Amino acid sequence: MPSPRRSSVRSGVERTPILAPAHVTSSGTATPTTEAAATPATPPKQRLSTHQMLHLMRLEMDRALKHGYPISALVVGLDGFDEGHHLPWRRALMPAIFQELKTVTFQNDVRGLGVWTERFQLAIFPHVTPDRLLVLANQVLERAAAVRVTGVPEGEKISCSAGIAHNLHPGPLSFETLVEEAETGMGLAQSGGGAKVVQAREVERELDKLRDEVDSQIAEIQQFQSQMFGDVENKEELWGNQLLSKVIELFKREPEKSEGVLRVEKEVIALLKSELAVWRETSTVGQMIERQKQIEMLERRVSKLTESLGLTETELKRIAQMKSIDLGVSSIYRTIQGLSGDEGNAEQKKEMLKNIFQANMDLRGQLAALKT
Amino acid sequence: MSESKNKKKQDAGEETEMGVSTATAEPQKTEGVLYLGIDFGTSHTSVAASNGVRETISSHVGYPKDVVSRKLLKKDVLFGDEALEKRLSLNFYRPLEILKTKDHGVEDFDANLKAAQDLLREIIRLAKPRKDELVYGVIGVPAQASIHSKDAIIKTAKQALDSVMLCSEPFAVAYGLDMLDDVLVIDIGAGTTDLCRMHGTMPEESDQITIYHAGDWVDNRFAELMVEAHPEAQFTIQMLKEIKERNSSVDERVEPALAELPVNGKPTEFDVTNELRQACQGIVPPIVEGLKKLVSTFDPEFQKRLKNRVLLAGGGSQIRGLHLAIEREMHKQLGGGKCMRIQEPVYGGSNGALKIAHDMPAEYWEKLK
Repeated sequence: MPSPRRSSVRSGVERTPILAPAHVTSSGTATPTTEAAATPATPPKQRLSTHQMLHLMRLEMDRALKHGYPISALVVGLDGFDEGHHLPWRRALMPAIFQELKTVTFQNDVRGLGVWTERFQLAIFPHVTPDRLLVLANQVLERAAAVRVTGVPEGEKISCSAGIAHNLHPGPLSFETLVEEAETGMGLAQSGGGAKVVQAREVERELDKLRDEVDSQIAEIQQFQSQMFGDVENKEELWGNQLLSKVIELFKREPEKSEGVLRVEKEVIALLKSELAVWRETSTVGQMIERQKQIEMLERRVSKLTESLGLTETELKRIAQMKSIDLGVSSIYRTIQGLSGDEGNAEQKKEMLKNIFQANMDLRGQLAALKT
Repeated sequence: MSESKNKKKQDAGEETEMGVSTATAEPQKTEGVLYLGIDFGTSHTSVAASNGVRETISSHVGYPKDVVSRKLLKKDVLFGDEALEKRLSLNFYRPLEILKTKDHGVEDFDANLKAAQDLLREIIRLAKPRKDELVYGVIGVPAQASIHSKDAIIKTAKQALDSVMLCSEPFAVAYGLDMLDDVLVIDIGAGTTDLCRMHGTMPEESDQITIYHAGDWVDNRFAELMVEAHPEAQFTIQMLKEIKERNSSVDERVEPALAELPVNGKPTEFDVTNELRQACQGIVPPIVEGLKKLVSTFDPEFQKRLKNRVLLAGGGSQIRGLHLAIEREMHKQLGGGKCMRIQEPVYGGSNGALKIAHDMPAEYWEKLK
C-alpha cells in the first residue's frame, strides 16, 4: 500500500491548458502566429494554422504510440513580462525565440513540429529522447537570453523556462497529457525562479524517492534501537559465562586440592568475575556510544531529508495555488473523535451507534453470503 | 485530555450547526480524519464534511450519446444541473429513482447503477478531501432500500472512502437534531416520503413507513391538473418541476404563480396558482394517514407527546405552509398535533449523517474498513 504521505504533483490538477481553444485560435487573428519548425534542409517557408499544426502533432503522437518510438514535447515560455502589460514585448520576442528554437533544432539535426503564441511555444520531436531534448532545451534557453528585438528596451533581461515531457514512461499517454506534462514542467521551472528546464515527472519521482528514503531511514533507526540492548548484552553474557566455566573446569582437573589451591581457585574466579564485569561494562558502553553516534547521524539525515521534503512540498503547494490546483480542504480533526462521555444522552447514543454498526456488519455478512 | 476533548466537541457542535463557518478554522493542518455525511437522494445529493465543505447537486447523471456529443461537451460524464441542461445530447439518468425501487428487473438497471456510482464519486470529490487524510463517511439511504442498492452504494463508496457506514435517512435527520425520544420524522424526498418514529432506540421496521406521495407525485399530479385546466399549454414534467420549485405552496393566500409556457410555439403566461396548490395539498392526507398509523400503534401514554413532536424534513418540506397544512390535517384526523419544519431541509440528512460519523467510535470504523 502506498505511503499516505505520497502525493502526486499531477494529482487533482486543473491547469489552464495550452490546448484550450482560447490559445489555439486560427492564424489570422490577433493572437497567434504559427510556423512549422521545418526540417534542416528546408528553412521555414510553409505557414500553417495552429489547428493544422496541432493536428499534425496529434498524428505524429498517434504514430509514435502505434509504432512504439520515442516522442518528446517541449514547452517554452517567457519568464515575467505579463500578458496584460507587456503584450507588445511578448509579440516581438516570441517569434524571435521561436527562430532560435528552429536554429537549435537545425544545428542538432533534429526534426520536429512547432507552434508559438504570445504565451508559449510548443514543439514536439519524434524519435528524440528526453535527455537529448534536455540538451536542446538548454541551448534554446541560452540563445533566448541573448535575443534582442526592436520594441523591447536594451536593458531588459530576457529569460525563458521550459518543460519537457516524453512517452518513455509506462502508462497511457495522449497528446493532451504529453503537452500538459510539459506545461506543468514549465510552470515548475518558472515558479522556481525561471531560466530552467524541468521534467515534471522527474520532479515527482524525485519527491517519491525522498519520501522512500525518509521512510527507510526511520525504519532503520527503529530497528537499531530495538536490537541494540538485547543483542549486545546477550552475546557478551554468553561469552563471559563460557570463559568462567572453562576456568572452573581447569581447577576441577586437580583431584586433590590443597588449601592453597582452593584459595587461589577462589581468588582467580573472583578476579575473573570482577574483570569480566568491568570489561563487559566498558565494552557495552563503547558499543553503545558507537551505535548512538550512528543513530544520531541517521537522525540528522532524516531531519534533513524531512526538511528538504517539507520545503519541496511547500514549494509545490505554492505552485499549486498559482496554478489553481485544488489540493482539498483539511478536516478540522486530526484523530477519530468518538462520542464524548460528557454528553447528556451519551449512553443512549452509544447504544444507537452500536446498533448502526451492528446493522452494517450484518449487511456486510449478508453481502458476502450473497457473493458466495 | 478532557479539556481537549471538550474543545473538539465544541468544534463539532459548531460544525453541525453552522456548516461552512469552520471551513478555514485551522487551514494550516495538513493531515487528519475527514468525516463525510452524505444524503443520497432521488432528486438531490448532499454532502456535509468535517472540513466545513457542504455541497449539493441534483441527482442527475449523463453520458454523451455519441462521439459528436462527447467532442462537443468535452466530458465523459456530466452531473447535476449541467447534465439536466444538456440531457438531449446525453444518455440521461436519474439513478436513485431506479435504485431506490425494489424492482431490480427494470430495463437499464445496470446503467443506472453505474450512474449512481459515478454520482457518489462526484459528491465525494466535491467535498474536497485532501489526499493525505483518512476519509470516513456515513451515507443516508432510504430505510427500505434493497440489499442490492446498498451493495452498490458500499462498493462505490469504498473506492473513495477509507471506511463507510450506511444508515436510515430519517434516523440521520433526528440524530442530527438530537431529537431521539418520542419524535416523528417526516422526510419528504422526490421519490418517497419516509415516516419514522423515534423512541430512544434504533427504529425498527415497524417504526418506519414509506409512501410514494412525494415530490415526483406532486409533479405528475400538477401535470394532470394543468392538462385539465390549460389543455392548450405545452410543457414537460421538468418544466413543471421548475415552476413548482419556485412557487410551491399550500397556503390559500399567496402571490399568484405565473408561468410562461408555449402555446403553438408562442410563449404565453398562465396563472397556475390553483393547480399547483391543489397538487401540493395532495400529499398532506396520505402523510397524516401514515402519521396516524405510527401514533396509534405507540404506547398510549406517550401518544400525545409524539403527536406534538413531528419534524418535517427533506426537499419537500420547502413547500410553503406545508407544516401548517399537516397540523390542520392532524387536528382533523388525530385531534391535534404540532409540526416543526427543520431549519435546513437540504442539509438535514447530511448534517445528521456527519454527526453520526463524528460520534462513531474508532474501533467501529476500523472494523468496517
